[in-house]
Amino acid sequence: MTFPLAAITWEMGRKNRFGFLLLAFLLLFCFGASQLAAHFAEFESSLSEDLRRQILMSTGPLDDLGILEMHARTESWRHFALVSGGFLLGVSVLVLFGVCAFCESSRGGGFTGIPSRLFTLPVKTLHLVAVPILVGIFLVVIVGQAWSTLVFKPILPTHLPIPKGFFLLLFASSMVAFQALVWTLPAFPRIRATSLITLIALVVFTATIPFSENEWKDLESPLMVVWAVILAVSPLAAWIGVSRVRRGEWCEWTVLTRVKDAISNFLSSKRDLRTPAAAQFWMELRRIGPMALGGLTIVCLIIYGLTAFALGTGREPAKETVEVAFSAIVTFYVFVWSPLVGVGACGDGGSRRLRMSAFQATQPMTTGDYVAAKLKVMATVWFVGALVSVCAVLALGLRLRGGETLLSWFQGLEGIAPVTIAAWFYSIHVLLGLFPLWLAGRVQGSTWAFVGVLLAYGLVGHLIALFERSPSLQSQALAWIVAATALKLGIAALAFRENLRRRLMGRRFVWAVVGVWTLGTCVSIRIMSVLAEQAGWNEGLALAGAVLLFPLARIALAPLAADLNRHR
Amino acid sequence: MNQQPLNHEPVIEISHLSRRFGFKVAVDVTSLKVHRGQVFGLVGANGAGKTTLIKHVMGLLRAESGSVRVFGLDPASDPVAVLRRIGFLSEDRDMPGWMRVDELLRYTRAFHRDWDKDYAESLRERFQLDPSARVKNLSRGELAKTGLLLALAHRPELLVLDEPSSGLDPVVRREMLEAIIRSVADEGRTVFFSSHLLDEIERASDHVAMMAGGRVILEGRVEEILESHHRLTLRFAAPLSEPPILAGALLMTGAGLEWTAICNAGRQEMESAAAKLGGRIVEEAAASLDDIFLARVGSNGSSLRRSEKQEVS
Repeated sequence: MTFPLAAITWEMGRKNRFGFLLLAFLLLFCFGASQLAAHFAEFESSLSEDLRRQILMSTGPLDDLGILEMHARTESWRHFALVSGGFLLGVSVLVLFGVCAFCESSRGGGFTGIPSRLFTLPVKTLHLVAVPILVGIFLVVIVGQAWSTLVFKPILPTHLPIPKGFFLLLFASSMVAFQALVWTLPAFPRIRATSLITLIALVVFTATIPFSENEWKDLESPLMVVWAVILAVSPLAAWIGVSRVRRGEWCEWTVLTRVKDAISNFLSSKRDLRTPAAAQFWMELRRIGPMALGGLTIVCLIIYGLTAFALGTGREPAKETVEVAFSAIVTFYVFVWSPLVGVGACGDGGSRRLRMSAFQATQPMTTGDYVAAKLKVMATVWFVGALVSVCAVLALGLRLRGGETLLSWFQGLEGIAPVTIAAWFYSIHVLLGLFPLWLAGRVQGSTWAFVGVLLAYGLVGHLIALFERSPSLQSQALAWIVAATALKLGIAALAFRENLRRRLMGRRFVWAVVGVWTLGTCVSIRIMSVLAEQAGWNEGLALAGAVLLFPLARIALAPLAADLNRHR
Repeated sequence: MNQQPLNHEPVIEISHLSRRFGFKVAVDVTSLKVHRGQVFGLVGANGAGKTTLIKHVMGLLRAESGSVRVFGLDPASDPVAVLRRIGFLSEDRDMPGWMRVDELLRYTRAFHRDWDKDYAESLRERFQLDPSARVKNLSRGELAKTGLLLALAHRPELLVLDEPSSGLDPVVRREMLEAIIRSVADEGRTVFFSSHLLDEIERASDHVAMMAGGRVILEGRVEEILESHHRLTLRFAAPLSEPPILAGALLMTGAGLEWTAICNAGRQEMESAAAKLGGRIVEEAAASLDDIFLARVGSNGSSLRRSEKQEVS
């Protein structure tokens, strides 16, 4: 290996050393959980063996209660190891994508492709492209193999064969396709973001197919071919693209820019922005709105297209196909789009980073107005996004039922309405995510912010699952929920008081937030009541838990956090 | 809460301000005052602490110890009241790249009640800025002009410019930036700006503070500073292999028989000190701010001094 290649490899390692540490930590954590689950399974099987021997020999007392307890514990650990393993594998792949993206943030915000400073060095474009691609493939294969062997092998049921080769191919191909998109389209951030979201959606969709036995039998070969072709073509596309970027040929797409300018000229209002709050709202909306809503529309259209195709082939019953598409839209909206909008809205207007730029921080505006503008934009974009996804679902219904009324179709899908409302409601929670932490600007980059929110919600999910599995915890549930509610209200009260003392916000802001929270909490209690009735949950617990759902403390803490960001 | 300061109060008052980033002392300023109507230049090498000091003035950094008062108020605790009266050009020129110039003007106008629309338009025409151009497509010079326009258009009482000449060509720098600074000062308003271009500071400002290692090493009226420093050429009877050590000399450069001293002592004192080493003054000239800066920064033991010494020896 010649020196420049070694230097590029070293740079990737040096720049991402914390990412590698995180990868190692996640693997070790899941390895430990998996080993514990395997240990309990082994112990349970040895107990069962003893019991069988005792029955055969009819000697000694039969300890079947102990075996039942051990079985419950084994299942609980296996479930924990599987869920956390699956979730943290997803996080690891995301981190790996970030590590191998090999790009840097630019002066104007966002990310460049391959750092342009490397274009001034005497190194071939082929080498610039080949090194990160090879490193990416190597890492993704190593990580995939390590997780498969160390984490999943000891805990997966033996009757569920996982096509390891397919997953390694999928990971490697998606990594190279991701790199090709990131590097070849730096001048077109919106197109790049949309393409990346589409790629991720396709990868997630494809990754679920092997778990459906019937579909997998039919689709295994075509999918392997498609992803192998992507693996072969992407490096070539990356090389051609980066070569053109290096020659300055793709710095701007004139026709597209003209169309974009004409549209923005047509849409932009020439009215004066009368107040700082109005100006900030306009800025935040212009910054985040078109991209977020455009991306969501494109993903919905793709899902609609795939569904229409599946309905055309008639392989699956129509109702099931539409249900899958419906789930895909809701899952994307709640777990991907909402947190991305939340993180994006918390970014700085000038630099798009979470750290506030001098331009933004020196505008004569209260920190409360700044936070309020962000909240209003998040709510507006979230609401329009909900309308877009509702329209997508309605369109699916129309496609399926033709002239028949949509209402009857919805009635046919039992429980879909409250689940949908609950999902959209939950998306508000995810939208706010780690709002104060993001506004504090201490997290370096949106990728880390997104990983942070995934980890936080993964942890919450685990806690809820643990709660469901442990009868001893359930008996104390009400006390825990009451304590959590008191903590939440206490934090909110203290934070509001501190905000008012520091004059970061006015009393009107406080009353508005409290009013919205009261309304939201009433709605969440009503939804939980319906869900509890349908699912047979403990209604008292469900209603008490509903008080925790609608955010208040995070909003109250937000101006204090933004103040930390503004005056470091 | 918007207390109007008394006229004799300084516009900027810094007292015992210190700030560390890790183990590095970024700023350690005992006292600095900028009065109304002054053009105050802040000069220092890269990493001297100019931008950190300006960030404290703008409230972007909260004082770890000591205090910063602008118009008698703490800019970190009362940002709106302070920032309304300031026009600021940041070193990073970190304006939103996705906005067009006209949108940026419309956006910024909303924050300033005193925005002078006609003045803004005249500045835009003078700077030859295309209103439909996107900020991200502007050159570095155009970015500086746009930032300057935003800083000036509401006719602020205090203009804070962090490295304003960065990216500007010499013609624009001389004919535009310095003219603007002078006209702002002539209207009785205050300018506080940093630069590493000493000739610019010398021409444009009437007060100067020199910074090194986070500290203010010299501060005063430009004329007084220039008058109190001299550039002397000394000739010795025998060649010297090392720079002679003379009381009052801040920097000695040269080799062999002839040496040049930048000093802040009187001619008499230097003459007698040189005579003791067998030397005499052969030429006397006024020291430039450039000379004084090199001498002062060098006397604080910076790398600049060491390289000078190496060259001399």
